[in-house]
Amino acid sequence: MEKKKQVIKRRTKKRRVCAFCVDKVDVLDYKDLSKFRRFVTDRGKIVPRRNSGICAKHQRALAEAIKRARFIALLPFCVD
Amino acid sequence: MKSYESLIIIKPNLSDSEVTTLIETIQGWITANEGEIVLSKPWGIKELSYPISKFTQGHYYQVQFNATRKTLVEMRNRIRVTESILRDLNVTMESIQSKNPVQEEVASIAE
Repeated sequence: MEKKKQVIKRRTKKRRVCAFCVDKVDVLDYKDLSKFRRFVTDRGKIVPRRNSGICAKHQRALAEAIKRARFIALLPFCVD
Repeated sequence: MKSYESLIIIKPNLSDSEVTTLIETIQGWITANEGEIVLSKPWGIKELSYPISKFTQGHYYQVQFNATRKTLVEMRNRIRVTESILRDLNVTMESIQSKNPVQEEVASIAE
């Protein structure tokens, strides 16, 4: 009985903090690829918020920056 | 007056002197209509992430300037009819530059 109780015990939630909030970033430059390279997958997709842990405000800014970088061919639209 | 930044991709088959002439022409479009150039920086030839009009490379040219909306529209119209320009991206400076003076240099990709 003791054992079963332990299995059921919920995993403690890890508190996630937005990486950009920590650095107090207010605007994202589309030319600054090093800042958002890790939020783009190997296939060139934008990492969703549930995986990246970024706050809504910064995810919007990030998406805009990545899309600008794609348009001007600094980042690929897709990698096959 | 507003601050803008343009990033322009020029065809890679142009010679250095042709590129310089084109850059001067672009600067002329800005200054002709009471625009003021803040920063002008050619990045040189760079690999494109995907081909544009069958070109896999391009000369990148970055220019920051203060101008009116009308000047910007005029400039974009001229860019559109210039065949040597593959692509252009125009953004306001406020959308890419922090209001706080503490900002690191963007040097990662320009090299």
